[in-house]
Amino acid sequence: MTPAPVVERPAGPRRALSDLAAAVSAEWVRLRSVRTTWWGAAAALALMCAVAPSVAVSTVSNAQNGTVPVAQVPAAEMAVYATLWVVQFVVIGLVLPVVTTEYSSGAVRASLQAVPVRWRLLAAKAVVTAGFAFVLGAVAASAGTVLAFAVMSHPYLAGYGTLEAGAAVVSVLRQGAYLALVAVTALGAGAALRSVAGALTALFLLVVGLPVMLLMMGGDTSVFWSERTLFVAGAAFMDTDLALGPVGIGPFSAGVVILCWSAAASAVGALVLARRDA
Amino acid sequence: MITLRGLTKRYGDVLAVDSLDLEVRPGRVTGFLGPNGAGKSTTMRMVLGLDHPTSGRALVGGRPYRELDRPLHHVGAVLDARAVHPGRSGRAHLLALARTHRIPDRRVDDVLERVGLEGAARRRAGTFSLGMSQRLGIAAALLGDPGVLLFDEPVNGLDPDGVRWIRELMRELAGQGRTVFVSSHLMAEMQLTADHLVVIGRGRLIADAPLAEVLAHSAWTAVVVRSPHPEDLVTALAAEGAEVERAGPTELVVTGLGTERVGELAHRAGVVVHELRTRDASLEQAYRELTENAVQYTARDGERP
Repeated sequence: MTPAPVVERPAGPRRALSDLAAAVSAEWVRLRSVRTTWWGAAAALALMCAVAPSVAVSTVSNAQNGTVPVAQVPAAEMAVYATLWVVQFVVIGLVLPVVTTEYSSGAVRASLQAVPVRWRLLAAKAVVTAGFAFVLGAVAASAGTVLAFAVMSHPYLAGYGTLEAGAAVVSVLRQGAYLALVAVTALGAGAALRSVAGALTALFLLVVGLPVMLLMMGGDTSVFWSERTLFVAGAAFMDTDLALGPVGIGPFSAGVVILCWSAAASAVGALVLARRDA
Repeated sequence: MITLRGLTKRYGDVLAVDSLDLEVRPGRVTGFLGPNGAGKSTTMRMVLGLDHPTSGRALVGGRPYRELDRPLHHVGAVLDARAVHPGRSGRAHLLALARTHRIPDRRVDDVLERVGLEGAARRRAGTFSLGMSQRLGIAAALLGDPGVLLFDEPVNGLDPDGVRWIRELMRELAGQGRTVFVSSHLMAEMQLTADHLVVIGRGRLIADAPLAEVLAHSAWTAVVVRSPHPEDLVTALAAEGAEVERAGPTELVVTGLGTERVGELAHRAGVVVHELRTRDASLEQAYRELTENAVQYTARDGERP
């Protein structure tokens, strides 16, 4: 059997798009075929289901004890709290190996032989991990919202929680979108730094260290920039006062800020991937 | 066909590959030889577009790797057998590669069967033995039915059956008209597998010749004559321009003439001959002669030999 002749397709955007779609399908096979993915997803769900109702209980008891003003609190905000403080870190831990394990195992060489246009490999990974994080985030947020509302509907806590379907759906979608962009940011950092340890450190500093440092510094300028960090903008984007207190930018501007972070991380990751030897 | 034009790779002060010009042709197994650190793997990675050349070009079918349309249909490569995600099954590894080229899943099962991995394909690759990993790597290389195949040290660590299987596979692939480029430092194995040899040392091309020619050029290739009175033959041989060495009281080692001519000369001189045979050079010997002056990392005092 001699090698089959290859019918060449003309180079151009159609071929590039078709190859990107094929690469996305391959990345989905890669993501779903490792246990890390499903352990991470299970952990995200479990933590959401633990944290959101707990926050509901503590919020209501704080209100009953008079430590915070008594108010009607949307159940969806409990899920946002969990997404911001817990679930996003699980998503980072789930997404990083998607690129870093390729380097540590050397499998990236096989991947790049199949997809030699390097930005395409990273783009395919970004599409798949963002999609996965979105679905995972939306599912977890729905579960968290429903659970939190169920807890707040208990006679002991009754009267504080609200569940308004339209607002809850918007909140759930925003949580999914935030986690999708966090996933893309993590992927970019992983591609740029290549090691889990390095990327985790960088992301910890970016997501937590930077906003806390800026807020601690105080002053208008620091606060201004703190609102442009991923974490604080995330709180604003998911439209919560509960998780972090009021933030000075609106959900739309916050969305743009998050988009910029993920775009910047992807650009750096793609640049490093393209420049360096695999 | 693989074409290298002035291919150069520099890491800081170290010139890993030094303006290599080379054509690796289809229909034969080309052995790529050189000591460790000679630049073999770097050269292969540059052919595959994984490493960027400092200067020069590496072309497959006349084009750089990354310009190939669906490259797995052009080139298959086995670089490092262990370079697979340890938590992913062998089949999923191949399935992902297949999806990038819209190769049907059936083909994945075909290549798994071809390399004899169908039973283990659903196990996680981290549990594979080296031999199984090597077979998985070969399955990946064959996936797109490519016309060019690269193997980087394919038989390292394999048992004799595995070695023979890979040798036969490479012979078969070359026999089908494919380009087979295989690096190794196992000379005995290369002597059995390769038709053509490319030898590099310190990143530079030392030899690019058919195996037979490399062996024939070795100083070890000679005719051995055993005779009770060899001195009577020495003059006749020297007159023909042969180099003659007295290997013992009754033995001569003759280079520069074939057995037929030596036999004729002995007959003419009336010398009794007890034995007349060729002494074939091993590739090991020929290779050592070629690289003697080019070995980059020679053992120094205190280091293991």
